[in-house]
Amino acid sequence: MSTITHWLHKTGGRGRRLAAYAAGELSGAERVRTESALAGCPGCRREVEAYRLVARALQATPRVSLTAAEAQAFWSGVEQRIATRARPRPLTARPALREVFWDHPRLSLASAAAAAVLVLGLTVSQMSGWLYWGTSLPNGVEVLSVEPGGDAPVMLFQAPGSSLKVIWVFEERPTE
Amino acid sequence: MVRSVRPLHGVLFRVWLLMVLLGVLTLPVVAAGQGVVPLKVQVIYAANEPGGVDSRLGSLAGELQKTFRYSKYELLDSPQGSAPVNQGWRTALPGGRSLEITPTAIQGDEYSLTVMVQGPGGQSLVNTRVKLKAGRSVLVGGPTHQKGVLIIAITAG
Repeated sequence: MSTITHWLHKTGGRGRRLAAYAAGELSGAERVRTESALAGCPGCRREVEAYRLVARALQATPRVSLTAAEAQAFWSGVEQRIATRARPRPLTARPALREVFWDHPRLSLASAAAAAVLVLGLTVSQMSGWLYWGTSLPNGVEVLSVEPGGDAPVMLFQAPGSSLKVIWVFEERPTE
Repeated sequence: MVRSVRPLHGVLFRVWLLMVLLGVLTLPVVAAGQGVVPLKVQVIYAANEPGGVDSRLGSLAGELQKTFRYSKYELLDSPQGSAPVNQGWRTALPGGRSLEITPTAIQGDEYSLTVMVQGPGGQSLVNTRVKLKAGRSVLVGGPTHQKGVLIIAITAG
């Protein structure tokens, strides 16, 4: 039950107030109200204790300060490391394509087989020019490009349920 | 070991080059296509006026009614012709306009065409490239005529 109460407090935005309470930043009325809420919420009390521990730890941590010489050495070290990483890696010498083929018989055979498949594929695809094996046009019509000639706008459309593709020229009607 | 198979590699390399060259060289020859493209044009007058649908339009009438909302569809002219690849075929349209169709490729029963509609002064109204399966039509519409518009159905094959 107390866990549910604590969860409700957290979702209701009480966490920030507890942190402020732990840091001693709440005004009188708010502090009293928070203390009365803490009395009925063990989870909230634990949270306040955690905030206090963190606050004490932060206060106890000594500040780091550098002398001018240390700062100078620090930055030069950073720059040196950046320069080292930015340097391009040396390229490894790659064999020429022909050497790869010469020295790897299997690769050469595989490439020859691939070339054969490529030529066969090209031939078969071109055979559709002589023997009809179907169409690449889903509707039998494909409009590849439309360029309006003059000032008249042009629209390409296809009505729903119709297989007709229409190129429509919005030509102005001559004034009578 | 490697040296013993090098002559075989030389042969394979040459065969590979030859096959790729053959494939590349045969592409434009086939793509260009050989032959003449039969062309059929139907020039239709569409308007919202009494008259109904011209029975000569055949199956195109139904498609026109699905596509447009005109009350009258009248077949004005149906010129037919043919053109070899890369040679234009021209026909006159009402109002001093003209239509020029140039087949650019034949692939099986698919025809690539360049279609240009020109106005009375020779100015281009529209210039389009289409690919048609044999017997299928593309429509170019919109040029004004009398109280309605012209719809030009272009069929190849």
